[in-house]
Amino acid sequence: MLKRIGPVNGRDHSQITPEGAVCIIREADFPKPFPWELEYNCPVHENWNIVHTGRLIPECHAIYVCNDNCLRGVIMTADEMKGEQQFSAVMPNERDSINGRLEQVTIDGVSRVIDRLPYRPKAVQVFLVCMHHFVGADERYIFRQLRERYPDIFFMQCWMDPIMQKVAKTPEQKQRYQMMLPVQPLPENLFHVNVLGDDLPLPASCDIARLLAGHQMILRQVQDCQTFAEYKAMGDGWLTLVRSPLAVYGVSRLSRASRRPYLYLSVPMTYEEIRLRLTELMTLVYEKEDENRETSVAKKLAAEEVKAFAEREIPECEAAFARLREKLTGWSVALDYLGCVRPLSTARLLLDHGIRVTKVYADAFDPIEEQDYLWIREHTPMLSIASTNHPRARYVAPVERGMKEKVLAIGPKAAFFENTVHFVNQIESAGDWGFDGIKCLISRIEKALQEEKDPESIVPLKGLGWENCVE
Amino acid sequence: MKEAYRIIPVYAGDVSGVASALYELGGMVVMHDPSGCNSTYNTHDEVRWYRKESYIFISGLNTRDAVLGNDDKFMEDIVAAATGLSPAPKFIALCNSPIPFLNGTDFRGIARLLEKRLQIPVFYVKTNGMHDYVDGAGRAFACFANRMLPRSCEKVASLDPVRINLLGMTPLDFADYQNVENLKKQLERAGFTLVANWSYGSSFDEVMTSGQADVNLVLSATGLPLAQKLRELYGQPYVMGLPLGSLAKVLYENIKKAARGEEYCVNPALELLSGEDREEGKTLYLIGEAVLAKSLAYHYVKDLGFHRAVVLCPLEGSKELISPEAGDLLTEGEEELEEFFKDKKNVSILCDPLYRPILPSGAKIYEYPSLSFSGRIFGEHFPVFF
Repeated sequence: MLKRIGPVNGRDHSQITPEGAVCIIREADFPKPFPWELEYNCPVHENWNIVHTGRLIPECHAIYVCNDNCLRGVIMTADEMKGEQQFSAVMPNERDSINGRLEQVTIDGVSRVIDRLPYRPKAVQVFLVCMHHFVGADERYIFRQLRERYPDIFFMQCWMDPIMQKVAKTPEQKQRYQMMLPVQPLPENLFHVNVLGDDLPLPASCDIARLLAGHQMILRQVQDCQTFAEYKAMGDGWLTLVRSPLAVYGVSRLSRASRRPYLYLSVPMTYEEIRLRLTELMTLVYEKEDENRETSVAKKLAAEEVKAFAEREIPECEAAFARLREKLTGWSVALDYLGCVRPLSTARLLLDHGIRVTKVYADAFDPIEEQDYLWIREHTPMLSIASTNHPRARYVAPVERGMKEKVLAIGPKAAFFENTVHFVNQIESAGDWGFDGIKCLISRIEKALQEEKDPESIVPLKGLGWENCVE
Repeated sequence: MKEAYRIIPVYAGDVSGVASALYELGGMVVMHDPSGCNSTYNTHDEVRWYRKESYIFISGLNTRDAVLGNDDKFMEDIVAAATGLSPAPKFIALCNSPIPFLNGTDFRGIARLLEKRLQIPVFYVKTNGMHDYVDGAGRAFACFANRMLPRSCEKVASLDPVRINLLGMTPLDFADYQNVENLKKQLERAGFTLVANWSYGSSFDEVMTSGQADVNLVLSATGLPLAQKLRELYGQPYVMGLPLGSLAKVLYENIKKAARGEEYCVNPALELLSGEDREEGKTLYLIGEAVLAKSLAYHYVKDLGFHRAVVLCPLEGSKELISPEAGDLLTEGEEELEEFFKDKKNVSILCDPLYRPILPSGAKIYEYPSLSFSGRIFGEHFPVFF
């Protein structure tokens, strides 16, 4: 990537204080430590956006209906991941937007795109935007018309309406729900457990997969599907698991409609919570295996199995921590909410094992982390919480001041703000979970200590894990 | 249908144009937008963001504040940010995406109130997220000049050397910074003195001296509204085009004539290629920004053996910058371009590589990636024109 950007400004920002952009956890509000103000956007884009997530469904085309500025970001996302063949757009102009023609332009534009495609998609995600809300466009009419015109195509009613995200469901929540709709209930297969709504797949080595395998159950994930038909066939799963908080809304609705259970397994990092979540999962498994079994019995069986499992796993984690502690002598650790689904749980785990975590980069927390927040407040009250989008965030530790030494970052935003060459380049906890996830994280930290990476050439790239053609 | 885009991208939007134009001028740019405009801009439409800071923010507008007309939050947030930054911004420019346009936000009123409270210039650059970067950057340059430049300027009467400003130089059209360095050297070698570069590798102090120049050289359509504003403010004439190949000499002659107050040609590439619409001969089609494309057209016809060059311009504010007599065309949307080339075999086309999917398969493509179209994808291959 081009780096020569001309003379760097000679502005001296040393007078800018971090006030407002950084606070210590003892004084931080939970779950929102920073107020909504003007937002800075740091040059870190490894997270997935709605374009990346939408691409998970095979044989699916995406069509965005929006104006130039908004459209540009998603088009370029698709182009950078070489996804232009599965991506199209409709760009209403000023007149279309204000003269009551927006619905018709949307319907005709989407139709025109579909008619001109060199292939016939099995499904189409159509994204309406903030503008459709504000001119009162009739979403139902738009999709009714499209379904009448293309009865062979499964339409997903998606939104790219960030104007709603702070006060209602986010575009990601709505999209993930729509993406689950093709998975309609089929006759149950007792050996199939679905994972829905997550960007990254659960690895076969994770605790969940191994415990389920002991009961002859397999995980089925959208990332394994090659065709839309295979994706729809996931409707035979008897249980749905979800890790992303953005997908809980969709999975819970799906569960109510299908009358099949779901379990929210946010990514816990402490031993106790991992055991707790695994016990919840295995209780459902024992109940399902024998529907006459009482819940209390199922719970007992589950607890015994998980206890035995944990007794094998925890010593391995502890041994890994002992190694890591030694290697991290003299180092401080910063982590961020992009790299870790549960940044506070991760920080707690590391602090509890003698690792010097000094800063957590996050603008808000998932309420599920409250116990971790309270624990850290009590045990490490001076831990810093740093905003990534506060107007002064850029100036707290500007890159112009040079690389930091002996700082290890977990996550791309921490890598940028800490300006360190030693960082674990991961998003969404790399898809890992449980004791296995802890061991994987330790292994990645050890690797990051050994090798240097240039954050400038890595963290601005979009959608970690996807192909990227930026030169 | 001009609104439908099956496969090619759209150009950078007006809000990106505003931010790009004002990036180095010492102010603060606030995009009144829910989310995404700044991310899109700094990811795909800007090459400076990682290493060269600038006070560019979004408001994070939410539906409740938009529906209820809660402009107070917008203003309070700007005041809080502006007073917390050091050095303080020299000005604040407001721009916006579609929702504030649809709900009729009174930006000029907001600017007046902010200016009163903060005691720094605040101005609105009229945008709505529905136009392209040429429109946005052009307006931003003109607004800045209108609000910030001194009304008059005393300057030395000497015309030796002739002093010039460069207008319309942003990474959106000239992403590789080598363009700036090389052009400066080239102009110095040709005997000119550069006063101000608007505005890549530039500064507030530099552009504030623009009145010292004798002539303005407009390098892209984004610089045209500024050229008109500077003519109005200081009576400075302007000449348009890129000093490439033999066009350089023609431009220099016209810049000198303009400086001396003699009759001169404003847009030599446009005027000298006019009337050359021959149906036969080796033809080059150029797709892109009008001033740049027309200059390249001249270069390819006069220096590189083409008999004819036709510019297809998909950008706004370019009607006066192309020549229908030369076969040039303003285009709108993907389908019009696809239709234009449908029956043309073995043609030569100079354009951004991302146009390729809608061009004839046998076409010879001269790839000129532009940040304004393909973003950073071809970052290692941005053209160096000078």
